[in-house]
Amino acid sequence: MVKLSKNNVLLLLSILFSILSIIFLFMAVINVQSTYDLVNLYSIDFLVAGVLCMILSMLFSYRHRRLLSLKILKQSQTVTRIKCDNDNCNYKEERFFQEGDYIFKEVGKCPKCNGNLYIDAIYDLELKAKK
Amino acid sequence: MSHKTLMNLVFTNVNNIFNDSTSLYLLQLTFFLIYAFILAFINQRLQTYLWLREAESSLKRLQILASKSKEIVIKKINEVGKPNFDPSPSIESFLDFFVIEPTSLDPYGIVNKFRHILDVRSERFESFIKQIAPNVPQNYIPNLEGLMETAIGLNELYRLVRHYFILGKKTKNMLFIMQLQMNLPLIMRYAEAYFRATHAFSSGKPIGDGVGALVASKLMRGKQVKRITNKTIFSEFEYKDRKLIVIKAEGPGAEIGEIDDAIERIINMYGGSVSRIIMIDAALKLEGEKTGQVAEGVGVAIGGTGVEKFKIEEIATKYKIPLDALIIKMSLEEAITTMKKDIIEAADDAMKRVLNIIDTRTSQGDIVVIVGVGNTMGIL
Repeated sequence: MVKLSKNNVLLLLSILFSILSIIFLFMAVINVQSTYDLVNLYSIDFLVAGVLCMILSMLFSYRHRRLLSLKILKQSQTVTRIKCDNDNCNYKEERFFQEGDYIFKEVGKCPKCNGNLYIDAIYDLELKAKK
Repeated sequence: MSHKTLMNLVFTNVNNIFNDSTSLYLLQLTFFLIYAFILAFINQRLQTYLWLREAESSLKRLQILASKSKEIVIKKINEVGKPNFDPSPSIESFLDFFVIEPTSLDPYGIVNKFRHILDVRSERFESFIKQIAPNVPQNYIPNLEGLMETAIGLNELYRLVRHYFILGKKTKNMLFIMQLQMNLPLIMRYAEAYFRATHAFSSGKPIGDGVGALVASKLMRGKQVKRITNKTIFSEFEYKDRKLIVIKAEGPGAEIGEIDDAIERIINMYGGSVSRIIMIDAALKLEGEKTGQVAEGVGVAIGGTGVEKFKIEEIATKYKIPLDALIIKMSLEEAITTMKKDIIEAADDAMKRVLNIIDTRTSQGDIVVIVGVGNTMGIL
């Protein structure tokens, strides 16, 4: 059996209550339309049930969003940009940051012109928030 | 009783209430009274309760951030310092480290007093790191100091929020709770930024605040570099018949250097005949401003406690040296977390602006001092 996290349970409850709310409200409207009487039969009950379900759905949705906002941290990836120190050579490469990297560190020879390669920039690339 | 019968009974009774006009009136009156009671008596309590709930959830988040940052510090110290004992208790107690500012009742000489206290603080940090991480390489000590500072910052935020939260809960004072709730968005922004800074410091990545040092580093690249004061370097070279002296903190560790002492020493070295001082630093942007925007002005572009600013202003005033300031705008989060691409690009723009100032506002034979201010972590 699939084990649901608290987050997913809240989301499911929110969806369930919004569906119930739509059904109840729809039934209330149908009831009023068919009898032309607002207080006749179950129209009020349906209306009350629909509004209650809507409130519960909003409550669970709020709790879900709140929990999610606590979990989300902007994910980022640091990139190291390497360049050749020969002005005529436009060799450039980018790779993920490795510990020990620093700007202007020499990192080997250029495969194009055999000049010196150095770290020209280290920066963060922001990725989409991970849920 | 079956479920269906029960439902029918409930629905029928509810319908009876709504169908009977007296019952309906009574029901409406009850609702009105409940509503009036809520508005009159429970309104504030309800509001306070909601604020407290919000503060509680932020407090939980702060607690997680503070404890995770502490874990990162312990892990890093074990990794690079290789102590043969458990450093956790020492780190735990050092998280409460504080600095008492000198009294300003008599402001005369306060800058020197402040300077002395900051020096003591710096020494204390360094000796603590050496004590808990005996095998740490010398160039890694500043990074661990920075890491420790972010953990202390997060711990302070957590304790502050917890204090107001408990105080509000105990006294049920709406003012305390309201103040806390209103400040929480900003406090949480700082906390998240501090937490992300922990990651930057633990791996030695350049941070936004280091953009000034990056500009200086770009200018001195390929030139001979000498040490001028403790943790501060300078490079001297010719540019279009002017003598440029570029100063920055010594990288690639998380150093900010002793910029004020370095400037003073350089100016004294040339007998006060420096024509211009150009300072480049990161500055906080206002909301709506673009990150990496370069702005130009006059004055001493340096943040911190004001001690360094005072000394630079003193010496510049003594010799009547014009001070140019270039600032690169960014948010607080961007200043203490890994550099963004916009900031890297802004460094090139700032360098062009510096050269433009030299071209247009100095003459041949002039001596120009250029200072890259900021934390030089991850920048040579």
